[in-house]
Amino acid sequence: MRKLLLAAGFLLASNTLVAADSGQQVLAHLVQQVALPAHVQWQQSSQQFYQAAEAFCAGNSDLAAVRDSWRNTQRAWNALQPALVPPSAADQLGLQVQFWPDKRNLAQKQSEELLGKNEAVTAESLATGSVAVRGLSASEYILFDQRHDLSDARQRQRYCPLLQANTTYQFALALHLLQVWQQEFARTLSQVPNQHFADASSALAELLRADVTALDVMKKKLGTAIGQPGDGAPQLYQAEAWRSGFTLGSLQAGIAGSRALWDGNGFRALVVEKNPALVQAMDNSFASLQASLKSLQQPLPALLGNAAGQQALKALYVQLDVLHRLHEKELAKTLDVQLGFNGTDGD
Amino acid sequence: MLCNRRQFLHWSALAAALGTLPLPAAGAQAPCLLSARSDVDGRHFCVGYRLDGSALFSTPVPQRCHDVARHPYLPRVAFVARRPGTQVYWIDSRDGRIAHTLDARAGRHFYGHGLFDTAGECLYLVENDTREPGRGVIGVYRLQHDRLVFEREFATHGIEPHQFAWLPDRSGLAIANGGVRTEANSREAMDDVVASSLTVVNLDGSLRSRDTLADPRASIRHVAVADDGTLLTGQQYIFEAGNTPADGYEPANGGSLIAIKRPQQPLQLFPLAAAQLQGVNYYSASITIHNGLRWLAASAPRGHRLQVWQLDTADNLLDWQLPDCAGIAAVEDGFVASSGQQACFHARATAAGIVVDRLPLPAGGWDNHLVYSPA
Repeated sequence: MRKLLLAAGFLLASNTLVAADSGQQVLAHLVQQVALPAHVQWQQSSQQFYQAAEAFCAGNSDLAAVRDSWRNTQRAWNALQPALVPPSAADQLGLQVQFWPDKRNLAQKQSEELLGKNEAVTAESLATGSVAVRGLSASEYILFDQRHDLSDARQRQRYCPLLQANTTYQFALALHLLQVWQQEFARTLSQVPNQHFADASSALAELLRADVTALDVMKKKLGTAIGQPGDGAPQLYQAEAWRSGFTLGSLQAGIAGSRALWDGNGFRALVVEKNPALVQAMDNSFASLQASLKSLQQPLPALLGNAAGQQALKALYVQLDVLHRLHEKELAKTLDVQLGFNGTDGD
Repeated sequence: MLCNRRQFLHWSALAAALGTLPLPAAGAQAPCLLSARSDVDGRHFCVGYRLDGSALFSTPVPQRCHDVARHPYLPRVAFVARRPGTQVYWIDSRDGRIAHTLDARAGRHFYGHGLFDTAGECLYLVENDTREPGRGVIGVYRLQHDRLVFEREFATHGIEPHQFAWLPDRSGLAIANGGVRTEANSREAMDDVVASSLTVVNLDGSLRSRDTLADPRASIRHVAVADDGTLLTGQQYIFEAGNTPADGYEPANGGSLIAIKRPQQPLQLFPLAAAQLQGVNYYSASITIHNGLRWLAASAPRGHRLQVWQLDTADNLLDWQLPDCAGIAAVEDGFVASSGQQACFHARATAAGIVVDRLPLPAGGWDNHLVYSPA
């Protein structure tokens, strides 16, 4: 009997279903070829956005160019989410970059309040102020809101200080995070064992947690916008990036980021022999979801405006739900990764 | 050692109560950590591990447990099911054998926490009176012939009691009443009210003191008592939908993860930076005091951090990232912390400050409380 009990205990203790060698290889690939490049991409797009804002506010480029830069940064930010393992507690980015859901339209209200004070706005003052006036959400309000026209010089004069403070703030944030990754954290995450990670499985678990969390957030963002699950009322103004019409573009970037963690020498390589049915299901899930996203030719508001569009969005949500659950249930189980536990289901 | 008549009668009665229960041989058991654990398939275990990572036992059980009550001198431990669990597993800590399963009485479920009295005669358990949902009671169970037998109960004078702790002189209990009403078979709140309190209750059930916090969303769920009688509580903020900090809600007095009640003083917020509260997602799990070092440790599974403060100055000594940080136990030179997702760590005091080392214990699945059993 005692042997049986201890055997049960060892099953519980074995967090090493992943063979050590393949785990190390996949970990090295995910850190060096996926997560680190995603951080580089975010840093570079943030730098370009900062430069584009400077040029626009100096009258050296047009609104379309700086809007393009915003989209690129938004795309890079969303693509980064699935690989966003924070190096330390202090580096939890979340709301510092994107304020969602903005249920009370605080990006607009607080931006206008701040501008109404006629006080100097800097990256430093933003860092200690409300999250609603920081990052991509506030920048999107400035660049895309219909109630002001930045091609007008007076309007530009009013909004540029906040735009420039925001792009400076975000550039500094992205640069800092990249430096931490390049100087230390990429090594900590990939060269195991070390003081933080006992083995490759522990570090891979961190990456999978980030991936599953990102997919969950994508699902919530789309679901809130289109009233799913449960056929609720669509809430377009709570959609991510509704002002820019980049809701589905953001989702597309997030899915691509998640797929980068799966494909090739990613998580797929760890389960390809152990669970071929899961591999097939995951491959199909990514492919069908991305094909559906590509086939949606209109932006979200237009799709919500007709029955066929609504139906297509619901189908998209179901596909996203399947992909999330495959990661959360099947992949985590096959890799023997404990996802949320006390933090989500504690006492 | 000779004992007086009263002590003799006490020990005689206890011997009869224990029946044939074998007493432990001196030095038979190495220091170990006791905790509830679960695996990725959702199976639940009661475990004991030596600090070198070797398993003493890992016993599968039907209900997920939460905290562990160690008998003061017998090789027995009580693993208590979390809400709305209905079982306590009375386990032989040498081999993990379940000696007895205590089932909750009709109209009651357990809340995951229990304590033994110093004499080892009675186990105290916090329970929900499901006929009056949320009304907290302490059930007292006497150890008789290696079984736990209900003896009496008294009120916690609060709603949804969670962790509780002995006062240093054992004259009463400090009880964290979380303040959230739940039904018999559910963990879901019945309403949006959080009527939390910290009560100190005498063993005859009379109320000695009752403290509350100003913030109506702060649920006092954990409590620890220092040797000098100082009480520390750990909070979990339970926000209403649409009225969270992201929606603009500002916790009263800046909010705090921890509150402190020094002897003869009211409960007040432990002075932490507001950013710390936000950083841990307004949620603490385990709090533990190291009396020798006068240190306080708290786990923040939503903020993924293990934090340590100097108890008297509130200086932050450690802010260590540990995903899903769970139970914390005081050991000789510091703390051991477990995780729901990652490895366990040992934070120890050195001349150069706190040094944190990874322990060779299995990673992940550890529940929110960890009990250290010295040799």
